[in-house]
Amino acid sequence: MADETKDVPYDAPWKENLRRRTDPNRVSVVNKYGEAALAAGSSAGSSNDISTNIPQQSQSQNPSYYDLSILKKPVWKWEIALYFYLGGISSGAYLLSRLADRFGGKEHRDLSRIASYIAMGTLIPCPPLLIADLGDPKRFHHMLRVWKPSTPMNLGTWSIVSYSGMAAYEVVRQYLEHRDRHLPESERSKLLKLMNNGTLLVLHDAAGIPFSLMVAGYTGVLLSCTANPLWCKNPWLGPLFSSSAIATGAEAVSLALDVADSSGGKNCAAQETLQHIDTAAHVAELACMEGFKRHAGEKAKPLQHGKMRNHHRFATGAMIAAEVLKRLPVKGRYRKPVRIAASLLGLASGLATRWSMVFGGHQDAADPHLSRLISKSASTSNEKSHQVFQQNRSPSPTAELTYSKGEQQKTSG
Amino acid sequence: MTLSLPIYENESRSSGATGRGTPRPVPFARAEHRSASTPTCGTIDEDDSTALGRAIDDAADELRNAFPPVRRSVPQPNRPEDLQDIMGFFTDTTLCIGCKACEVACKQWNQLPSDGLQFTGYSYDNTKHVGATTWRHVAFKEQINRNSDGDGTVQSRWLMMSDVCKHCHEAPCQHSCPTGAIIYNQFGDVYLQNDICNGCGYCVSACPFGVLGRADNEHDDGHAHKCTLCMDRQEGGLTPACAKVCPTSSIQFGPLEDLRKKAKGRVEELRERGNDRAYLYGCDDVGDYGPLSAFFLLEDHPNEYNLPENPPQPFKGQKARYAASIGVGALLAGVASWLLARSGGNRRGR
Repeated sequence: MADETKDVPYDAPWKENLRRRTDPNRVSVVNKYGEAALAAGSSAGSSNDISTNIPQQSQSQNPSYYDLSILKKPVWKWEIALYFYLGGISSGAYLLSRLADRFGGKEHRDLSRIASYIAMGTLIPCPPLLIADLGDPKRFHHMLRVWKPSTPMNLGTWSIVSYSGMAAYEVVRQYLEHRDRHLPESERSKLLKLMNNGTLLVLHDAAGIPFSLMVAGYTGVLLSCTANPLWCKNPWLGPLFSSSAIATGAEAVSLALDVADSSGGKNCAAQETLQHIDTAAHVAELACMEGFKRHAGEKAKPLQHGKMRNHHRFATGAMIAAEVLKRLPVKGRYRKPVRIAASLLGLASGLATRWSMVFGGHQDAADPHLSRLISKSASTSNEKSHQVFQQNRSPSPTAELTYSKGEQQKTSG
Repeated sequence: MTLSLPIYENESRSSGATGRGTPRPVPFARAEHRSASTPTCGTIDEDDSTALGRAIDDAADELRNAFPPVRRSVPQPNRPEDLQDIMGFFTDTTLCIGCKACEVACKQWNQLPSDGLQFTGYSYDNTKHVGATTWRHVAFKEQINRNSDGDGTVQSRWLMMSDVCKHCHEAPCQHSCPTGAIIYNQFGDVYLQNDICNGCGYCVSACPFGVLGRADNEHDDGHAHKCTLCMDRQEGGLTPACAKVCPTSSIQFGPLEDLRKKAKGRVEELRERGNDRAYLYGCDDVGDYGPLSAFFLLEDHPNEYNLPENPPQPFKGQKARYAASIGVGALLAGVASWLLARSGGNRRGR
């Protein structure tokens, strides 16, 4: 030990001074501590006597630096929340469009077409939103200079770029097919024939469906890969966003079908199917939300008590209200308005979900207690972890030097 | 109001610290706010000072930087045998006197803008955080303890710590950066390349120490900024500015292995002298988190210094979370295709 400190090159006159003349304040504190520890022995009840002599440690079970948050607030604002929402709708609608085209047959042709339009329409605002959110929007293409799949943002950017190609293919194909639907096979446009090529469509689906699932869910994974207390390593965020994407996609398609179909009743089967899909996605979404809150525990405080509590309540409430509305025994001409109301409620619920998640993260990062809580070891509770920490460093005079993990291993092994 | 320490001037002139022969661009300034005397890329002629010429050059720079240059050699990650060459900081808080020379020196060398004049009332700390414009921050913690004997005497002490980017060995900011702007440089430190960063802000949320910040003020460039461990000075063989000015050697700079030895020796020395609270934070592992290249000797719980006790590593288990998210999506897609086929496909006799 002494040899190592001798060859320290930063020797200065003060250092010799300090060696000979120990700090009276510190020594007295430590001596008091040591005496108390010796007198008290190792009995559990004596912890109060010991701790009263330790400055600050007795007074606060939760030590902090002037109760300032450790973490920085996320810089993501409404653009990102809105992008999460629109990207979700787009990927959900695209998915429905492709699945309806592949499995639904003639009956769901309208559904497929409208869904592809919705997918494209909601995708178009996404890149401007993403670019507007950047600190230096001129450099948006810098994410496309590299391929770095280890970070969700890079992988997501590549996914959405690839996905937008797929969505464009689909929307062009659907448009041409709709335009030429009355023409005989030979007079249809060549581009449509090429696009309807079976092999090409299989390839399209093999790439497009995974990409759309990726676009639907990567946003949740992106949030979960941060140190923000609300999001950090929460495995339910990805599934929550995936299911919400499919639910809002189905609602948007249902709404568009209702709006486009003025006569009503033409797309009964399609609407029924969309309602079922919506219900399935809502069930998954509610389950994920519950799982999310359980996993986050105290860290989900902003969603329950903070500024985002109304958004969160609305998200859950509107989802349930939409389900109830859909199941009302309404027939005839009132059926359609009820359905539209249910779709609107569902869409609003999806937006509120994203909004509360993004801005709840702001609340969480600003909360000093939660910012400390995230860095406690997960297995132990807040106070317990602190006590364990104190015990590990307990300055009992007889204890061996155990000031770091690596050193412990070295001395023991 | 600018102060200038002549020591920097002399050093940078005599040893060629910048190394590239180009004037250092002013950080944090958008291209349109730069003056003609601070060229952006070293490509602008000195006498070309017209606004049009500068605009054209800026546009040409943007184009030139749009795509990466052809790489002749692929940078390799550090091999295990090179690890002793990682340079780092050891900040000994028992020696810190809170003079803030490091904060000032850092601001001056790196030309960081002012944080404004605010009075927080938190002891002598008016900066509060390490951030985009503050790469060194001196934390002042005043601990007051009324004596338990009831005689009214007050025992108080100061905890002072110069906080800095930790230059983690498994840095979440480096992991998160979607543009590849954050890298490990030749000194093994986490370095943010300002000419690549597009200000997405992912690193700001990813850092469990809350180190990174985005310069979001009106005339700022909107990029994330953090301690570079004075890479430019290191390239010229100089000590980082904060370590250079530290009057009590609270901040020490050097190869990490040496610093670790010194730090352990220092803890033992302190313990011999009766200070049993001293321990090292980040010398080896911090909880489940990897070691830090800028580590600290502390005397109290890390939260007293606004350091996390057991910082999370957010990217652990990322693949499982992807699998869960895509799995749920695929499941719902399966349900949807079954429903669609049931209601529509049957009638066509599929």
